[in-house]
Amino acid sequence: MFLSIRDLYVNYGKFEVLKGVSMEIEEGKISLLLGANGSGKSTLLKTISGLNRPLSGSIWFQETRLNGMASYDILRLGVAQILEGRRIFPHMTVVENLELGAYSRRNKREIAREIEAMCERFPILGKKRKEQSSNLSGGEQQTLVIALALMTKAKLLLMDEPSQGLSPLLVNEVADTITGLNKDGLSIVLVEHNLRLGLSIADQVYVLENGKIAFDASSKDLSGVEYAQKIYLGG
Amino acid sequence: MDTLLLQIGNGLIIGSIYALVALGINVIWSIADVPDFSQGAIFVVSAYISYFAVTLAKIPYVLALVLGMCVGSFMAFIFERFLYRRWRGAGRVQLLCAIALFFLWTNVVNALWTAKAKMFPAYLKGSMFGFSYMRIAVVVVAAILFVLVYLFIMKTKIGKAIRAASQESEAAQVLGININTVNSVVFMLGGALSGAAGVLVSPLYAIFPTMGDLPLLKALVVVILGGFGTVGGVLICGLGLGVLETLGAGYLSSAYQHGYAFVILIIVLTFLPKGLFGKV
Ligand SMILES: Nc1ncnc2c1ncn2[C@@H]1O[C@H](COP(=O)(O)OP(=O)(O)OP(=O)(O)O)[C@@H](O)[C@H]1O
Ligand SMILES: [Mg+2]
Repeated sequence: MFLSIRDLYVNYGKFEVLKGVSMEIEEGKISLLLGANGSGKSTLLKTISGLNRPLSGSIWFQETRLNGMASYDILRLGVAQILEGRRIFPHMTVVENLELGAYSRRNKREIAREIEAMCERFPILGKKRKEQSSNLSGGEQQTLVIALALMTKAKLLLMDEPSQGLSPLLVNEVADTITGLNKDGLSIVLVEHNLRLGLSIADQVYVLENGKIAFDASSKDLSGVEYAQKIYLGG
Repeated sequence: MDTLLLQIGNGLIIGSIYALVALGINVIWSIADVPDFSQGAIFVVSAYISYFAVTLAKIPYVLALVLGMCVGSFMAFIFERFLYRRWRGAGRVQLLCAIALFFLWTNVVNALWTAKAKMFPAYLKGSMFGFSYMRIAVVVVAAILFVLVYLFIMKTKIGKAIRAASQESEAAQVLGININTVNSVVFMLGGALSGAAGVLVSPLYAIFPTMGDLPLLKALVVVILGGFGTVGGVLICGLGLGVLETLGAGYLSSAYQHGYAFVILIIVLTFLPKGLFGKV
């Protein structure tokens, strides 16, 4: 199995957020993780990437047990995360941000080449490469966040609400970027409040409810969509 | 006129000591989120160790300075690794721990080497424009250290990781930055600066167990005035405070010399709650 989570419990102090999450994620897929506000989607992603420590349960990525490992070791295995809320490094330039994306690698020449490639792939970043990233617009910052994550050369990318706060046009652009990355072989776990966007690009849908995966179906399976809609519209 | 210039010069000298300690505390506070009062004790212990190295082992002053920085670095590393790290996220415990370390170590120094002041032997003779070479050396070394710290933070890979972690800790971690390493380095840097300040100031005054109290308090004022996280702000505030209090002592009343800092602090914070250069 590519990513396998078994009976995962995560608390914040006395507050239980995840209460026995189990899920299997296949390689090469876009997996959509849905759930109401506060249901623990971000918590789950952060636990996979090592920012949160689980109380019990296990997380396996390609035969390696992730829980208990430090986040920098998890990254080295090929799991990267885009955090909720466009977390760039505001007092650094675009290029310095991209360099940080390659922090865990050494080959300077290769990194420089990849930064060039990234600037070509996302021309807005190329144009503003010397700018402080805090001066970028929201959409540009989101592009930078994605480019940063790509610089890690991960095999699995955990994306937490990449479309948050973007205009409809930019949302479509992000969707295109995600499908493009997936076609290039990147496996993606996507948390997305924009149901239409999420369902249009996902292969598999998971719904988090009451601290567990309440539903798991192919995105072609309409009952899954209905279930998800019920959660979002309340019912 | 001459006395004015002399006083400004002396203010800059004592101000560079404040700025050095403040820079270390500032970097630690803004990045590791620990108000590290123990830097005041590191200042003292480093001064004593370098004093013994010079008087007993007869090593040259420059090496004693390096030794003092190493001692400071080592102490700060140990404090972080075995104490502060344990209570990461529990700010109040860390604060208490920092204060406890400060008193504990000044008392240890008192117990080991008594309260009697020790005189650091002069290592340079002569003077220029009315300032002894030893006083000028303080400013020169402090300036060099400031430049080195700046280059370290701006140009090296670990310096970049430190900045990244201070701007967005979680994002830095998921990009592979080891927050424990960052904290260790930051504490070692702070300890080295406090150690340097202690060794630099020793030949100008005397060495005694409470010699770190005032520099620590003044450095805290500088950190708060300078706003967290700005190297330039710390430098300007440190030097400015040194000059103002020396002028205050010379022209107003020397009885209040150590009170001016707090008067300035209260006035500035009343009007600018974020300090003079605050970003946060
Ligand atoms: N660091 C924290 N300390 C304490 N409680 C937290 C912390 N982070 C999240 N929580 C709580 O845990 C619960 C799950 O939060 P989480 O951010 O994982 O939800 P989410 O599904 O991502 O929500 P959203 O859709 O709003 O992003 C929430 O009730 C939240 O208040
Ligand atoms: Mg969330």
